[in-house]
Amino acid sequence: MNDLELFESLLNTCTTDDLHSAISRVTQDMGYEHFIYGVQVNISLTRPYQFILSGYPRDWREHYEKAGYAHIDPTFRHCINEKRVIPVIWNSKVFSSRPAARLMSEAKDFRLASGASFAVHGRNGEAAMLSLASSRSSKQARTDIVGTLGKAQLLACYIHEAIQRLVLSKDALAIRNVSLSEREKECLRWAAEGKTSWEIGNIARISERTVIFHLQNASRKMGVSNRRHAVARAVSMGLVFS
Amino acid sequence: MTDLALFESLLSCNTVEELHAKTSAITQRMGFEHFLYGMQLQTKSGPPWQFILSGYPEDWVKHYSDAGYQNVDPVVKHCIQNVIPVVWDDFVSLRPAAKKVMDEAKDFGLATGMSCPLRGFGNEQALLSVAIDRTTRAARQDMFHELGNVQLLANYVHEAVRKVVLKKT
Repeated sequence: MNDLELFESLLNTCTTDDLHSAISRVTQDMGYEHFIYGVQVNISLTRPYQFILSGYPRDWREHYEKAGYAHIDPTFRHCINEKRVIPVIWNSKVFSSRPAARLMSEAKDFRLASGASFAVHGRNGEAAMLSLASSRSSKQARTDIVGTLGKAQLLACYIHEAIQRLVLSKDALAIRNVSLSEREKECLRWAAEGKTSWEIGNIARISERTVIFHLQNASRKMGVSNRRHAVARAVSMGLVFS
Repeated sequence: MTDLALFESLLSCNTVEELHAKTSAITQRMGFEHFLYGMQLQTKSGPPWQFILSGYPEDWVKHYSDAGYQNVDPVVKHCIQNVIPVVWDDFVSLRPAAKKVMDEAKDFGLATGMSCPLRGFGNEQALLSVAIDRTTRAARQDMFHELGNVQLLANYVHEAVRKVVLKKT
């Protein structure tokens, strides 16, 4: 399976719980035990809206919140306040100020020994970040982090896309009203199985052009621009099996 | 595998020419013949300000601009509306005008490609497209393999552009 297929499974999730398990599987496969995704939307300057999907140890999260560590966490500042776009690999240089150094050493006690943080900024001005952490602090751990940096950045983008649909976008509710024809559903089901338009045509005994026609109509109805999104959305909305 | 040192070398560029040369070298090393980075900054009044770093065939860029394709290009539309990359082959339900852009791009050697969107501080909106002039299955597979690294490269090029062009660090 290539990264694209792996990550598109995230777009097929129906609930944040499903998404959470899917992310856990993917990140563990990449060698990380823990992840945390958070998004901040500045709907008001004093009280920004926040949503967090945490795969971090619960007691560390509680401690972090209680201590107000977001104010001194350099990865939070980098991704959310400064809205930088490149990732930060955790090291003592990043956590150089005294409070930040303490934060880092405490995190280690909770088995968050090494890791990296990735930023994604959405179309409505929201700032999001994904942190991936490992309990290993060896040189090899760092090599592994650097080696999968591209994959992890892409993962951050896909998680944000999924959160936009599941949490941030009220439009998602309106999509439930989409009604697809039987032929459109059939074509989408086979497309979800990875069949090409030509193959679907053979299975459904219609021409390849007609398959494309049905997929185009279905995409238009759901307001998405490409085939992969059409499949992902139809599956996640339960549109193709009804 | 991500070659971080290669990406980080972008951050030490001081001129647009250096940035172009380095981006070109990196994308070629990743197996892509062509690249284009585009950035748009919404100004408070007046038209948006644009910056482009192009490693696309010159005659295509000229044709694209003369024909005003930016307004109908499905890649641009995707990157404005999404935070995940798009593989060009995956576009369906394209309007005839949009399809024409993609078909003509093929004729200029941009046969297989993908585009990564990204947004930065304030209202910076950017995209990085990479392309190869072959349409073989192997070419597609190679591209999929580099998907994450292309997205990461987009982020690094953007960071470098902020420093060199926008004079922000």
